[in-house]
Amino acid sequence: MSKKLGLLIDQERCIGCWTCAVICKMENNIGLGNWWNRILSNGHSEYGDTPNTGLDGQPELIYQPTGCMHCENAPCVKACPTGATYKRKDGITAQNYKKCIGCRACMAACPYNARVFNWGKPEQIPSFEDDHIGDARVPSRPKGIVEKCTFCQEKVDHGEEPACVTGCPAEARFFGDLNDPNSEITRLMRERGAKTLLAELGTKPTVYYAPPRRKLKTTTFEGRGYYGE
Amino acid sequence: MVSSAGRTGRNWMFLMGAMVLVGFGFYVNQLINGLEVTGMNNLVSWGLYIITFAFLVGLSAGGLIVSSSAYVLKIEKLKTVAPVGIVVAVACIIGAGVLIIADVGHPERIFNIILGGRYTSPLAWDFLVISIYLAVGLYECWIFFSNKWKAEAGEKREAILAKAAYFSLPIALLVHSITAWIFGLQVGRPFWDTALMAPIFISSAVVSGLGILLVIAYLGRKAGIPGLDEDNVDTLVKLLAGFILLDLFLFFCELFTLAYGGGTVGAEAVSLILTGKLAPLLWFELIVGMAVPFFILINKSTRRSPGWIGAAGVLVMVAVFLKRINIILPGFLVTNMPDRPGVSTGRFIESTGQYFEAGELPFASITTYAPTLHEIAITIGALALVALIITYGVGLVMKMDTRAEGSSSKQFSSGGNLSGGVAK
Repeated sequence: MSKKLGLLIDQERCIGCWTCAVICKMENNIGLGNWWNRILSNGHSEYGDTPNTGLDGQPELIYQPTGCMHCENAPCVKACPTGATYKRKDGITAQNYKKCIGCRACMAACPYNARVFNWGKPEQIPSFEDDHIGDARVPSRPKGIVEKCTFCQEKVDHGEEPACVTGCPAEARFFGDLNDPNSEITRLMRERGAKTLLAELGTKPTVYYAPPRRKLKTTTFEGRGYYGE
Repeated sequence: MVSSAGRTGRNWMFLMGAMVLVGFGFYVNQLINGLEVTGMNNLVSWGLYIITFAFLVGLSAGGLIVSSSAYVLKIEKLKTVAPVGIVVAVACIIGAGVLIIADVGHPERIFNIILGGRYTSPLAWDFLVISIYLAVGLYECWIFFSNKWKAEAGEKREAILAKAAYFSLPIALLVHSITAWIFGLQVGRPFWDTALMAPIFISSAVVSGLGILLVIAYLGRKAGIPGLDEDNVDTLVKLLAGFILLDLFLFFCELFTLAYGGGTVGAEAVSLILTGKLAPLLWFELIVGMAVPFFILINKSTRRSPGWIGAAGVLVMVAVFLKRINIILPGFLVTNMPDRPGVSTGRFIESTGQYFEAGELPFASITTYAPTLHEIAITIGALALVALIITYGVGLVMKMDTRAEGSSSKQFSSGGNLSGGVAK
C-alpha cells in the first residue's frame, strides 16, 4: 500500500507555546506577516489568553495548532487553474512556486485559511542570507505567489521529520504513515479517537487531533450538584 | 450642432484615455511593489478587482444574452439592439480580462493556465470560455462593421448572425455561470456554496446588461443610435422590470434559506449583510437600486421618458455592482474557524514597540477590507477603457446605419427616425 503521510496533534499534551509555529517560520524562511502554522485557542476570553470556565467549574482551554490539513480531497488542488498546487504520491499537498500565477483561487477554496500570499517581497528577520538560520533546501519564494505548510517536504524526502514535530517541546506532535497500522500515529488515532477539523465538508484532512481526556472533578458534582446549585 | 457634438465626443474620449493612462501608471507601480499596495490580505484575498471583474462579466453577458436571444427566440423588436449589445459585450469582457491581469501576482505566467492547466478549476474554465467568448464577440463585430459584409445582401448577413447567435447565447450563459462557479463551487465558503449562485449571477447579469443598454440609449438619443428607438427601448424597459423581480426573488431565496436555519457560518454572513457592516450596501441596493427603478419602469408617466429610463439604467447598474460586493465579501469576512488569534494577515507593521495598538494585530480572526487608492485607480482605468471601446463601437454602429440606408438595406431603422421618436 502506498504511503499516506499524516500528522497527529495531541491536544492533551499541547501547551500552546507556539514553538512549532516559530520553528516553522524559521526553517522555511517565511516572510514577515505570514505564518504557515498558528495556534488557535478553543474556549477563551476575548484575547484568547484567559480560559473560560468548564462544566465542572474548572478553567478549560484547548490549544489547536493549525496549519495545512493536507486534505486527501483538497479543495485548493481542484481550484488551482495551473496545477501549481498538487497532491504528491505520499499525500503531501505541495506547491510548485514556479507555476503559481498568484490568482489566489486556492486561498478562496481553503476552508481552513491555511494558505498565505506574499503580498510584497518577503522580508525575513532574521534572514536566511544574512544570519544563516533555516533550511537551505527550502526554495526561496518571490512576491506574488501563494505558499503554505509543505509538511517540510524537503526534510521528509531525506527521511527527517517536519520541523514542528522535532521542535515541539511538549512532544505533542506525531508524524507518520497513516496507512501503516503499526505506526505510533495510527495507534494514537485508534486509542484516542482522533478527529479532523471541519470533517463535515468532506475534505478528508490527514492532520488529526487527539482531544484531551479530561478528568472532571467529581467532587464538584457530588458536593454542589451538576449546575453548581 | 454636429461640430459641438464632435467636440464633446473628443473631450470624452480624451478624458477616458487620460484615466486609462493614470490607471496604467498605478498598475506599473503595483507590478514593481507587488500586491501589497492593495487593501487585500490573507483573509480577504480577493477585493475590488475581482468584484469589478464579476460585474463586468455580468454586464457583458447581459448585453450578449439580450442581443442573441433576439435571434434565437426570434424577438423582432430586439434584433435591432444586437449591434450595440455586441459592442457592450466585447468592451466589458476586455475590461474584465484587464482586471484579472491586474489581480494576479504573476501576470507574465498567465498562460500557465493553458500550458499546464488543471481542468477541475473553475478559473481555468473561465479563462478558456472568456477567450472563446471574446473571439465570438469580435467575429460578430466583424460581421456587423466590416466593409466586406456591407456589400452583402441584408438577408445573408442576417442568416449568419442568426447562426452566430445560436452559438453565442449558450456561450454568454456559460461564461457567467462559470464566473459564478468560481465562488459557488467552494465547499470551504458556506455562504458561496449554493446551487443558486449561477442563476443569481445570470439574472443580475441581464439586469445590468439591460441597464447599460438603456443608459446608452439615453446618452445617444440626440444623435439617434440605430436600434435604440422608442419602440425597442420600450421592449427593454419591460424586460428589465421583469428581470428585476426575478433577481430579487432569487436573492431572497438564497438569503432566506441560509438565515432560516441559523447558527451556521452562512447565516452569520447573512446577518452581516442584513444588519451588519455590509447592511448599508444591501438596503441601498434594494431600495434605491431595485425598488426605485422598478417603479420608474412600470409607471406610465416615467416609462416613456428617456431621462427617467436612463436614470433607472444607472441605478440598476449601481445595484448590481453593490450586489457583487455583497456576494463576494461576506464569503471572506466570516471564517469557519473564528478562534483567536485567527489567520496571519500577511501584512506587518514596522516594529515600533507598539504592536498591539491601533487594533492592527499580525493575526486576525475577522478583518475588514477597504480598497486602496491603487485598486481604485486601476479599476477606474479599466472601466474607462470599457467606456472608450463602447464609445468607439457605438460610433461604428451609427456609421453602419447610414451606409446600410445608402445601400437600401432596411435591416436597421434610420437614425433620423429614432431621434424624432425618442425626443417626442
